[in-house]
Amino acid sequence: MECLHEDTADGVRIIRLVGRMDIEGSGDVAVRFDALTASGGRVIVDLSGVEFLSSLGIGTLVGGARTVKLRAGVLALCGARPHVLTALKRTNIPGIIPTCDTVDEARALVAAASEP
Amino acid sequence: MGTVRHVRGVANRISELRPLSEWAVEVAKTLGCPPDRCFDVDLCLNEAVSNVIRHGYADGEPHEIRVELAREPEALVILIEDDARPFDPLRAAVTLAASLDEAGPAGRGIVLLRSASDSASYERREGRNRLTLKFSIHG
Repeated sequence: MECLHEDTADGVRIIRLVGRMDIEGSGDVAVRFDALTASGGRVIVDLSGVEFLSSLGIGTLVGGARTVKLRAGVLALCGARPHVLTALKRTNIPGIIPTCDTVDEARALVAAASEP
Repeated sequence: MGTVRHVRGVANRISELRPLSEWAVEVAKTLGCPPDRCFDVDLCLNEAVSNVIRHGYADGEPHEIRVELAREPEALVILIEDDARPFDPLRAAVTLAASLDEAGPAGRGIVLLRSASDSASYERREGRNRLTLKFSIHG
């Protein structure tokens, strides 16, 4: 599993997760994902490359969102494929982490959430 | 004609999960399981077996977990059997957090297991856990 990122000119960190986010995949990306969320700020996690998401993967996302929030930032998820989105909904993740269809929607959301 | 059962034994190691998933999805397809249901099969099997591997044994010894897939007229049925400590995932109390501040690391696997299957049953028989999961297939 891969964990890629880009920091945009307007101060948003976009993390792209790619692959199978099961226990093994979550283990592959955990250290890097934790490091990328450690500084808080405005963070978007693009899930469009995630083909499978288990509870361990969801736990990784929740851990990142908590870390960002503790540093007064905001993290949004976006791009989940239908069955991945279903797994997120079954565990009430959209109720606790903003979850958008697209990166653009997520950008608008994190921009609005971080306005003074 | 009797029901054809597809059986695989896996060791209690995390590295066994991906080969098990690949096998189960292939078998599910050959048994007429549509793609969206194959995902549910994969997810439930992953949650159930990883739970056994991570939490079921305290002796550090190798154990075998037996997985069986079979087709009923309107359902795919999975039986997961292991000799781990008794644990009924269908009766375990789980509460999903209502806020990010309350969200902990545990419990979501059991929620997924219960919600992604159409019916489930558990029994402890002759020192073994037996978890049966059914996935409806229409047509």
